[in-house]
Amino acid sequence: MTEPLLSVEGLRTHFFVDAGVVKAVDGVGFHIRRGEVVGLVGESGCGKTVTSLSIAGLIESPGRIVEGSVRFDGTELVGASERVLNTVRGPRIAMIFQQPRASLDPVMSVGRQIGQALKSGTGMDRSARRRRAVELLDRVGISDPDRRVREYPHQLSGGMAQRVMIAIALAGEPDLLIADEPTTALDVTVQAQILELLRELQSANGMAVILITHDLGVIAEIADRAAVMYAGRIVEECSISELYDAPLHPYTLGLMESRPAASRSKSRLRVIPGSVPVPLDLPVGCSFAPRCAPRVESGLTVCTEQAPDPVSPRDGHHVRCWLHG
Amino acid sequence: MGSATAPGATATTGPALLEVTDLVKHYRIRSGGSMAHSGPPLRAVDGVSFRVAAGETLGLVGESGGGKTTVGLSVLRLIRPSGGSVTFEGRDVLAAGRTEMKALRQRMQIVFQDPIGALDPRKSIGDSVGEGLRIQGLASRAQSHQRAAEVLDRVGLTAAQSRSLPHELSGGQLQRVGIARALALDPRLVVCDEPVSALDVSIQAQIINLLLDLQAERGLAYLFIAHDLALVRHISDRVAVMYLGRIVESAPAGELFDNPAHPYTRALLSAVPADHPAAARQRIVLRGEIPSATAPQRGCPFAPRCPDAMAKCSEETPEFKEIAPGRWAACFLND
Ligand SMILES: Nc1ncnc2c1ncn2[C@@H]1O[C@H](COP(=O)(O)OP(=O)(O)O)[C@@H](O)[C@H]1O
Ligand code: SF4
Ligand SMILES: [Mg+2]
Repeated sequence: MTEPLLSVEGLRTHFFVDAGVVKAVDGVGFHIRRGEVVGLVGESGCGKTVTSLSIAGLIESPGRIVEGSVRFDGTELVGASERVLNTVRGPRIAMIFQQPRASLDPVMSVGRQIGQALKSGTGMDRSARRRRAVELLDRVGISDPDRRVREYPHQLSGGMAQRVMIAIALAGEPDLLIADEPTTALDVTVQAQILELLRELQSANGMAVILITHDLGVIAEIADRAAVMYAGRIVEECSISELYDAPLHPYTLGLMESRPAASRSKSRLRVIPGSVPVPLDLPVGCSFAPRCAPRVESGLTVCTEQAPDPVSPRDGHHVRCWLHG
Repeated sequence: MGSATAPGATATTGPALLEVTDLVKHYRIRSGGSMAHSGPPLRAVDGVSFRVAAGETLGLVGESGGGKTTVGLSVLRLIRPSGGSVTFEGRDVLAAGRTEMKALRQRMQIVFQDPIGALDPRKSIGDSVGEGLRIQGLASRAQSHQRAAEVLDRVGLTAAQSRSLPHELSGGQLQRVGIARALALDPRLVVCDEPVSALDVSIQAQIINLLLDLQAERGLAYLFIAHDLALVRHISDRVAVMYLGRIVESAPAGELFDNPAHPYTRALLSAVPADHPAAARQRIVLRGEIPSATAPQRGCPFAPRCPDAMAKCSEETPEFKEIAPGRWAACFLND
């Protein structure tokens, strides 16, 4: 078996704040192969963004990767020098975010921002970069790219700004794109356009994608595999079809069942009681235990004493839950 | 009050609790330049009519910028519409004097996406909710405390939480406060403007259940504005679809979602992510984004993006009319 493009193992990223230690990411492991799309799902605060920033080496004080490994195409990134990180981050691992306009520089034209991304490594001169910027804008579906290349972020709609971010991300022809809630702030119609674009670019360029979202529907549209996060850990990882047809973790099951489509119109929805724990104050044992109905039904007592390790009840299907191991 | 001019009522429901007819809200926007002068008006709402019966939920959907919030605010007269009429329980909301308006406000309330904006950061939750009652001149200090405690309890907050300050509560808890504030006055209609879109999925379901329970208990009517179409389908009896300041289609929820009559509704629904990976669907990808509502209009406002547009569509404006019992649409395809 060839080595995966990215393997994350035992990743722990903690924030050392006055109130204590925020264990934002606390033992995350997964891998992604070339050309694969993995969806990272979970509710806010479960550590999706911190996971992706850790992969890209973008964690700043008071945060720190306290343990674990991030191997990208044979290179260990945890503890790597800024020089090594700069050859990877940007050109080979690119990121896009939820608020595209906030990630763009408001006083720099679209063309110059793409040009900057092209500067590192490509050795293109100014006019070549301008030509390439126009090509990239065209590639991400922006009409009239010759005009748009001279525009500034405030002249763009949200959907257009996200396309520009994607163009910047594509500049280095990355092997991995990390897209953190790229469509959350957009209307469904524009979301559909952006997902279509990502899917199309991904298959044309053979680029791997980590798509971070809280929306299970978005995952269903685009991902090959899914990793469900809860309180700083991946609690379930499997193929998309198993996620929908045979989920194993009580949290995943709860998310699936609480979708409006899962109940009759105007009837009460199935709910997961309670709310996501504060990572400063995680329960002992399984973090989901206080909200877990199957735990109560099955009378498991170990859940509140000891955190479950991942087990693989099926091939390629990993779950952290005492019910399964 | 004939249904010919006020579409939206189901055949089985009685007289409308809320009736909105030809609602218009134009904003004068200043165009730049040293000789600032006003440009063409922004037609945020451009002739909207609908009815909501007692105890019923009307869902209002459409892309952002379509005018949904402006409709919600106009209904409560939190902004002044430029034209049209709003009738609530038979009373003319837009013509109401100060005392009448005060009485109307008890019967019509609103819940926003971000409840924290409506709360005083230095006041306890209980005090904020009670204060709403006193402003309405409804209760003495003691009574208002009592009533606030009752509604906060009803929405699932503990006594300790009602003594907290807003910043000490989570988003879901704050939205419960928002609902409690609205409920305190015992309204008949609550406008809910994206009440759960800022919340996590598991918390959304809890809030939706609360809204459904309250409706069943108190016979509340909701004008439910949201962009999450699956949610709107779930909670609504009827649904109206807005595009560029107009309602382009309205129908009973099930019919609208199963058999949309307007190309915009079809495109909107087909953009919703699949609810199963195997549900690979034929997607109608709309060209472009919702245009600015200042552009001068001729013909159907949706024509520039419509996959089914005919020559006529950019010449004439289709009338919003009843195409089947209880189903309304503004599109020449239904002629
Ligand atoms: N700079 C920071 N300082 C302290 N805590 C942080 C910081 N960044 C993130 N966190 C905390 O880490 C946890 C995980 O956050 P995040 O990765 O942003 O979650 P998600 O992306 O899944 O919503 C949250 O509790 C968040 O408050
Ligand atoms: S380990 Fe126990 S508490 Fe945790 S999800 Fe499984 S059954 Fe529930
Ligand atoms: Mg995040």
